[in-house]
Amino acid sequence: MIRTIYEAAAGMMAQFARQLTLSTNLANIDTPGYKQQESTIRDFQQMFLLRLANGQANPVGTLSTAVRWDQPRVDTRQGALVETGRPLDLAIAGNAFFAVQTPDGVEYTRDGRFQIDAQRRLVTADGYPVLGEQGPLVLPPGDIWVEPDGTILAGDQAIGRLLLLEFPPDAELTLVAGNRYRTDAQGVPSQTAGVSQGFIEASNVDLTQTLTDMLAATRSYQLAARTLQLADETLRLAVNSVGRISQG
Amino acid sequence: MEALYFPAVSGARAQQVRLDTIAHNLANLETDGFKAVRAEFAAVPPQQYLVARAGEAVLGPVRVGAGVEVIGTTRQYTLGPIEVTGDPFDLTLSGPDTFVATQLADGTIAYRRSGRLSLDGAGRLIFEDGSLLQPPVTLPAGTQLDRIAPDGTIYARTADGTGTQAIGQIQLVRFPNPQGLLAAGQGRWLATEAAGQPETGIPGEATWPPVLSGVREHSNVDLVDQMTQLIMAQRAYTANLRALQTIDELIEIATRLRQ
Repeated sequence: MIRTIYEAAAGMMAQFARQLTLSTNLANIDTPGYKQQESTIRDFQQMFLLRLANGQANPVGTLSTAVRWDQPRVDTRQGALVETGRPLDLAIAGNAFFAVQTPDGVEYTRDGRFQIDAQRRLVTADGYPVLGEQGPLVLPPGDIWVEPDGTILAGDQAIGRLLLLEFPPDAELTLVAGNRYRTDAQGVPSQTAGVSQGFIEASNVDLTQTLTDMLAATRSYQLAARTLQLADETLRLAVNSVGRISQG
Repeated sequence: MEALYFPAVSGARAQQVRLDTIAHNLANLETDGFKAVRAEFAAVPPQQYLVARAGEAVLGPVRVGAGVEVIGTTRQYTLGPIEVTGDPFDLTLSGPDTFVATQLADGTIAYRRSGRLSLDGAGRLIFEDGSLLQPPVTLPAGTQLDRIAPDGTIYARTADGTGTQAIGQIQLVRFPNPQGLLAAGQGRWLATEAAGQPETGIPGEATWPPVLSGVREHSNVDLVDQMTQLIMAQRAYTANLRALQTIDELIEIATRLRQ
C-alpha cells in the first residue's frame, strides 16, 4: 500500500519534470539553432523476485517499482533553414556544429547568428570567437562569401574555413549559455555538412507535438495523483476500520 | 516555486519583446533609410531542478532546461527598396553597412546612410536634419550645385554656366561591427566602443561601394515578412501561456492531494 503511494508520487514527479522540459521547448520555439530536449521517462529498474522456501530460492518473475526520470536528451534533428538575407547569418545543413572559443573552453553551437566584433573577428551573437580550421577567423573589410563547404572568401581570396565538427550519435550534449553545447565527445571535421549563408536554422521544436505531449503529461499526472489519493483512502480505511471492535 | 513557472513565463516574455520589435518595424515602414530590427533569443542553460526522493525511487539530480532569454536586438543592414527621385542631391549609399559622417549642431559626429543634401546660409552642404556633411564641403560663391558622381565627387556649375568643377568629395565610413552602432533617430547613427574603430574610404575604390544619387532608399521593412512574424509571435505567445496554465494546474493538483 505504501509502495503504491511512492510509485504514484514518483509518477507525478516524472510527469512534472516532463512538463517543465516541454515548457522549455515551447519557450525556445523561436531560438535559432535550438534543439528540443526530449524527456526520457522509463521504468525504474526492474527487480527480480525470488521466493525463499526451505532455504531454496525460487524465481517468481519481475516487478517494476516506479518510473524514473532520466536526463533529457538533445534531439539533434535538423531545424528548418529560414532565409534572412543577413550575410553573417550562417546555417548548417547536416549533422555538424560550429566550434566557439569561450573562456570555459571550446563549445559547440548550431546558432549561426554571427557578427564581426571590434577586432574584426567573426563572433557569436554574444561575442565569442567562432573557430575556423586555423583558430579564430579575422575578416577583412568588405563583403564576404561563405561557400557551402565553409570556406570564407573575401573577393577571390580564401581567408579561412569554418570548423564544422561532427559528433558520434551517442555523444552527450549539455546545453550551456548562449545556445551552445558542451560535450566530452571528440568531434571530427564533417565531410557532409554544408553551410548556407544568409540563412538561420530555426528551432526544431514541433509546436503541435509539444502541445500534444503536454496534454498527455497532464493526464498521466492526474492519473498518478488519483492513484495516490485512492491508495491513501484505502490505507485510511485499513488503519481506521480494520481491527476496530464493534461496540454494538 | 517561481522557478517552476519560469520556462513558460520567459517564453511569453520573449514573444512580447518580439512583438515590440515587430511593432517598431511596422511603425517605420515608411521611414526612409530605416533598418529592420530583429529580437534575438538564446536558450537559458538548464538548472538542477528536482532532487527528490520517493521511497527507493531517487529522482535526480535532474537538469531541466530553464527557458529562454532575450539577448538583444540586431539590425538588418540590407539595402531597402530604391526609388528614383531625379533629385541629384538625394544621396543613398549602395553598400549596406557603409555610412557618411555628419556633424550635428552640438559638434557631435553622427553617421547617416542616406539623406537629401542642400545648402545652409553659409553655402555649406548639409543634410535635411541640418547636420553638416563631413569632411565639410562649401559651395564657392557664384556657383550652383550640379551633381554627385558615383565616386562621391560633388560638382558645381560655374558662374557662367559653361562648365562644372569638383568642389569636394563624399567619404565613406565603415565600422567593423555595425551592430554596435547606436540608432539615434532621424536617420542618425552614433559610434560606440562596441562598433570599433571607423575606417574611411573613397566610394568606388577597392571594397568601397559607389554612392547613388537621384535615388532614395526606403525602409527595408518587409510588410509581408513582418505580418508573418506577427502571426508566429502571437501563436508562440499563446502556446507559452498554455504551458504556464498547465504547470499551474499540476501544482494545484499537488496542493489538493491532501484534503
